[in-house]
Amino acid sequence: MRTDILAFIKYIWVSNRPLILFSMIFIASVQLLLIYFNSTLEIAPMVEMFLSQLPAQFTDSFGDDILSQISVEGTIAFGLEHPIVITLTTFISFSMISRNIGSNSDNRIMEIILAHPFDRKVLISVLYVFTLFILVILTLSASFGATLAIYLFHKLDPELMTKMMIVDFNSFLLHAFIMSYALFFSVWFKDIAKAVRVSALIAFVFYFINIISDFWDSLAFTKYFNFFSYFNPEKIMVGYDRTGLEMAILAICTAILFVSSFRIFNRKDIS
Amino acid sequence: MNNNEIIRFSSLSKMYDKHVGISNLDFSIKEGEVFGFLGPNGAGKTTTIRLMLDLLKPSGGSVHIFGKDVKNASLEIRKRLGYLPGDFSPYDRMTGNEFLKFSSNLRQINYSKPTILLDTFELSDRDLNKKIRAYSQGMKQKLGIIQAVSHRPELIILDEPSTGLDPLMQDALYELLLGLNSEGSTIFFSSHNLPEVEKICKKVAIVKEGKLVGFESLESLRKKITKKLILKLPLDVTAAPQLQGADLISNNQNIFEYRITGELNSLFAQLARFRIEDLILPAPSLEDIFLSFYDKNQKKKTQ
Repeated sequence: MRTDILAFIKYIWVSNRPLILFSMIFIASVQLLLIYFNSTLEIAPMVEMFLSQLPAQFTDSFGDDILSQISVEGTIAFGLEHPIVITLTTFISFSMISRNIGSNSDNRIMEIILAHPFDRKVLISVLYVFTLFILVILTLSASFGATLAIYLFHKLDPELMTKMMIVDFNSFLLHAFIMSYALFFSVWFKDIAKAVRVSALIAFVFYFINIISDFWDSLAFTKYFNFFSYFNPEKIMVGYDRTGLEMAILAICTAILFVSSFRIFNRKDIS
Repeated sequence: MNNNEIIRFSSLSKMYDKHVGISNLDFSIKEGEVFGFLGPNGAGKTTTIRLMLDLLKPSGGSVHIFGKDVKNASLEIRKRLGYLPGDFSPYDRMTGNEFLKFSSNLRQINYSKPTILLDTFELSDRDLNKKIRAYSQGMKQKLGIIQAVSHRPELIILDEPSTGLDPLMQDALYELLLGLNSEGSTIFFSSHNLPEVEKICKKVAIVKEGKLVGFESLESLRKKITKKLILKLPLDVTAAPQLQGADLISNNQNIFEYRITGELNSLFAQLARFRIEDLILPAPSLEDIFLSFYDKNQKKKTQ
């Protein structure tokens, strides 16, 4: 591989290494611990008792979902869509992309790099592919934690493992999409801080809308436009026939965002 | 583009949202020159440099370097130049040594420790092994200069290179640049400090508010600049002496400031009549230079 590309990859890695390593360990641990608790505690009766005390409207909407998460399949799904896991992975996407491609008065490294004979097209492509690679690593960390826990406390089942791989791939695509729109805003806005603020706001608002649209019928139509609704780990675990279509939509939107960002970055003023 | 022109600006303009970055820049720099690019902060110097490096895209006109349009051959051009940005702030989690290796790798050249340059700028191995975040501004600047020149580029672009350097290191920098120039490198030296430009440059362009207000050899610039004279006479002298070839600008008790408009010989002959306590010929400030050029430009326009 070319020394300039290797040097740039090393620079991205070094500048994000602590956060990536922490996230890998954290995500794997979340999966492992959730499955461990699921295996060692009698959770189902406790949850059923708790649900029986809640209003009927809530239990009608969420009761089945919560009960389904008590199984091993549900726990794996829950681990990947846990708000902290999603926040952490989203934060890594923003951090790697925005910090390395955006610029502001405190961050002039992009100017220094591009004053060298290093092509912008190569820079954005390497950054994008490497960040995708990190997302794969994070997803594999979750798989590792889950697989280890299943091996230790349950039984490795080929069907379960296949479903888990599909959920992992769905999770990867969701984060690739989030990373791609963060890239888009980072090349679109002049200021990195603005790009991060807008990207984070979109993630937060869409995540929130996705949750409330589950029990507000009048918001059900938003599901079609909400990228979080294209990530359905629980449904995949119980068998879901739209998984392929939804993942294809995420992949296409991700590709469109990358191509658009690539074109904008080539014309962008670096200052 | 003439054969020995290394940089040619052709009606180069850069507009930002509401203000002018640079407007209709039109001049060229010859191979082998040490060229000074003078202007106050915000005049458009850095914008011009970033246009040369293809970091900014022009709103109009073009820049040709080594006979090639920066827009189409930026990568090829960047292989042949070295650049020190203003307020040089590299990635501070690297050590100095790692940064120099990083820079060499981005150029796809083998890294060899630039021992002579490190000695010149008094950077020890211990300094190079420290994280850049522990560096002073002066040390960062030295590192930036080394990364800009260590590969012996044909063209060296420096944006305010003496920032943060003490006077001894500034002299070392000027000596280094003159040495590189004698070996064939062309130097584009951006600064807001006339005395340092005077030390090494033979030709200068002067910009203010995004416009080229002067393009001169340093010798002709010196002639054009309005010089000043400050005269300190004994305390009992309160009336300003009338001098031919000098206009009184201000007086503060026994201290008189003049703008020199005539011959220095005749002026000093007149001064011999007075009991002078002190005499100062201050180096013209950048503002004095701009005033000289602006006055002339304004006069040309009104004629």
